[in-house]
Amino acid sequence: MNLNKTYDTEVTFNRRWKLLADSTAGLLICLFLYTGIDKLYHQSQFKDALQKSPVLSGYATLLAWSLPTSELFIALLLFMPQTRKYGFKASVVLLSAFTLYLSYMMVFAPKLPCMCAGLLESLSWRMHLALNVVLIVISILGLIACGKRSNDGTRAPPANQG
Amino acid sequence: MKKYLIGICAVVVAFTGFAFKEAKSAKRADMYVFEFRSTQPYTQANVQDISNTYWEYKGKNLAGCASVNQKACRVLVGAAYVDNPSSPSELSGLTITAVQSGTTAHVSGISGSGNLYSNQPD
Repeated sequence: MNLNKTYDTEVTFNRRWKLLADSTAGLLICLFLYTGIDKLYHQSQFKDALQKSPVLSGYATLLAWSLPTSELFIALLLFMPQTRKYGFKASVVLLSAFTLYLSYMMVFAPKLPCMCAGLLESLSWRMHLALNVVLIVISILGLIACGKRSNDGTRAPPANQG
Repeated sequence: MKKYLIGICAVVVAFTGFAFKEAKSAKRADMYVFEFRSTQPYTQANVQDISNTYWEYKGKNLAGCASVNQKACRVLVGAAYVDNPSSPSELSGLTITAVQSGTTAHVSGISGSGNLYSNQPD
């Protein structure tokens, strides 16, 4: 039995998971860093938009600070390979909460303008919801890839039995 | 260092994107946002009155309202239509047209090119 061949296949397989985990983490770091900085930089506009929301107006001040801080914290968790798994989990939670909020807004206040960061401000509520679902799927994929990678351990190549 | 490479690339892309967007939006002229005071009755005469008694300055470049034509909410105007662009407190040289619908009035027109308005649900 050729053990080296089996080992090589496994290494290629693990590299694919690593590539998937890295690329999804990179994409989400970009997203959370960009939106977090944008919300902090335009804090007064963001707070004003939250005050107009039928469900969040009472928590506008708290959310205007905590939301961008959480986004930057998730970007930091994703940045460090040791904490990446927690970053993906936090990303799924935050994006799911945001998706629930978007769904609520689509039903109860569809005409309210979306105060979304940067390029996302041109999106409609429906487009934003679709994008969020895609981002949740990407986060879950990253989480799975991270799990597969952590299972591979640090195996040494098999000793040559010749 | 290699294991942080993807993260470093993502940080660079995010900051570059943000800086690019800011440079682009800095070229856009500021819009001054005034909101109809909710403590005042939403009558046609009050909505058409541009004085500080009825229209309160809220800030620059804020979003509009829900755009449901039931009662007045916000107007977004250029620097030429405020009393003092460096410290605005009142609308100036502007004509607001309002329509009474039931117990409330909403904005139906605004003078000046580029000026905007948005109403809200009752």
